[in-house]
Amino acid sequence: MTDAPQGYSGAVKHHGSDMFEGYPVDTANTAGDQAVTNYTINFGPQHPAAHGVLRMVMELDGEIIERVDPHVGLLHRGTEKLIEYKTYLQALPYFDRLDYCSPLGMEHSYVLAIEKLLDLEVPARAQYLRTMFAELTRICNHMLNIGSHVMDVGAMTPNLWIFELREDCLNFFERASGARMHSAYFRPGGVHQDVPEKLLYDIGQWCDTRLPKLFGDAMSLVIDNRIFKQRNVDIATVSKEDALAWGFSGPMIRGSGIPWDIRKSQPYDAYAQMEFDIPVGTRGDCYDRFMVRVQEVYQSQRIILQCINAMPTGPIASLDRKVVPPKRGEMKQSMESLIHHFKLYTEGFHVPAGEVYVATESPKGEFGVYLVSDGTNKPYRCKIRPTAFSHLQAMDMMSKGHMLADTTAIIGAIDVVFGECDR
Amino acid sequence: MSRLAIAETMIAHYNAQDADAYVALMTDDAAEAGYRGAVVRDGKEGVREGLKAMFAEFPQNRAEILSGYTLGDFVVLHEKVARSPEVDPFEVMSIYSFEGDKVSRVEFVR
Repeated sequence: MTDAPQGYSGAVKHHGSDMFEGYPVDTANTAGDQAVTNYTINFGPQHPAAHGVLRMVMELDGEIIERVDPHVGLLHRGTEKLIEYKTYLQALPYFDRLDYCSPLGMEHSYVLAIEKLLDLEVPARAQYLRTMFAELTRICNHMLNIGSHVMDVGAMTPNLWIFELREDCLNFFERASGARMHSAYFRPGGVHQDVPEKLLYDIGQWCDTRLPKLFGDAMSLVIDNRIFKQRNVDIATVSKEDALAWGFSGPMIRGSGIPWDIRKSQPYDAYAQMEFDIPVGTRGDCYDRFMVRVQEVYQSQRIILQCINAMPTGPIASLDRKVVPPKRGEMKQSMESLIHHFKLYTEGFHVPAGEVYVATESPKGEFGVYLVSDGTNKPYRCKIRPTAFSHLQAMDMMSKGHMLADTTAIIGAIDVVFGECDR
Repeated sequence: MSRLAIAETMIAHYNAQDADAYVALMTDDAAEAGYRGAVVRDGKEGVREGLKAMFAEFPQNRAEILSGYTLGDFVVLHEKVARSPEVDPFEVMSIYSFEGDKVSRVEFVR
């Protein structure tokens, strides 16, 4: 714990502040005045607006931020090391627990990395299902971020409304995988199981009716709201050059006006067949980042509907039984299936030696997995490239000169989740 | 007695370290082998001698049946085997082939 505000007693004169510039203020010390030096506070790790366990050591001049030093690692669980002691399939659920607000986005990079090492072909239906659920995950993530961002700067109602939509998304995940959050639905070679036609129909209906209505209503309260704009416009402005220099990705780089999106630049699964736009900001401030996410919800809606309309029939996972387990029905009939199942769930599959880096456009930005295989059934190394780490390193640059109260807007617009940042 | 029950009885004899009772449920030319692989113990006598040697080396050897299936003419057992309480157990799938009511071949997948 660092020091509490120091040096305050009696009347105050702010050194270094130009807030009285132009006014006839007598700046000479009078009897009883005392100079106030900068003071240091801890923002978090138990601050409700810190979005988890972020601790920021902040040096303040009055309420003006002079320096921010984010301290991360309080949620470090050694995920990368734990993965080295698990088979490839056993390691998958760790990814759900990284960015637990968009679990399927995390799984996506991992399964694509394994498939690349295995040179495994994924059936078309599985690719469409993964694309659809990745976009549903994006909406689910943005509902949480947009809602909490709005609440962090003072509005309550929109968050309550759009949490209804997040709840809908979680229900869809549950209907597909059995789990609301930690789905473990994407698997090397495809997805765990097929979805019922009724689920596809319901998701389509939801995209056509409830999502645009409820989300549109909630956003109508916010995006032109005077107070919301005062709290976000021109706050933490990041230029294109700075966004690149600090390694931004996702809505953070798009908010600064750079149309960088891995779904477009290096399409994976069914994204090459999808028509969608990349929303970008013009000023690079918190408001632009917020609005990029708002527009991305509509783009995700477009992609989901395209996936449903073009969803091919066929298998939902590779038929390579050395990687993908047989269906339970087959195991009742076939000795080979039973043995494959046994081998896959005891020993796991072996991955050819090699190394690969695969990144996907997760809802928060570029989420990458650098996977090294030594030819055994367990990863030799699994380095995870989180989105939040590079965004948080720019916290000092973004916050300098702003007010303490702006911090909540800046963190909200980063969309940070510490399960992913700290790993 | 069903074939699944015969296989389970053999495991009970195995856990009792009773090699004679174990091989009594096998044909004379029975063998234990890796799945589609090399024969480990050949003939009833080979199995008996092999088991006795193994029981002498691991007096606390135990096998726990996790699940059992009958698939056509075969019985498949999913087992967890511990050589001793101090050593980590391993899982094995054993496949029993039959001639009548006697086991003619046991194959193991690890």
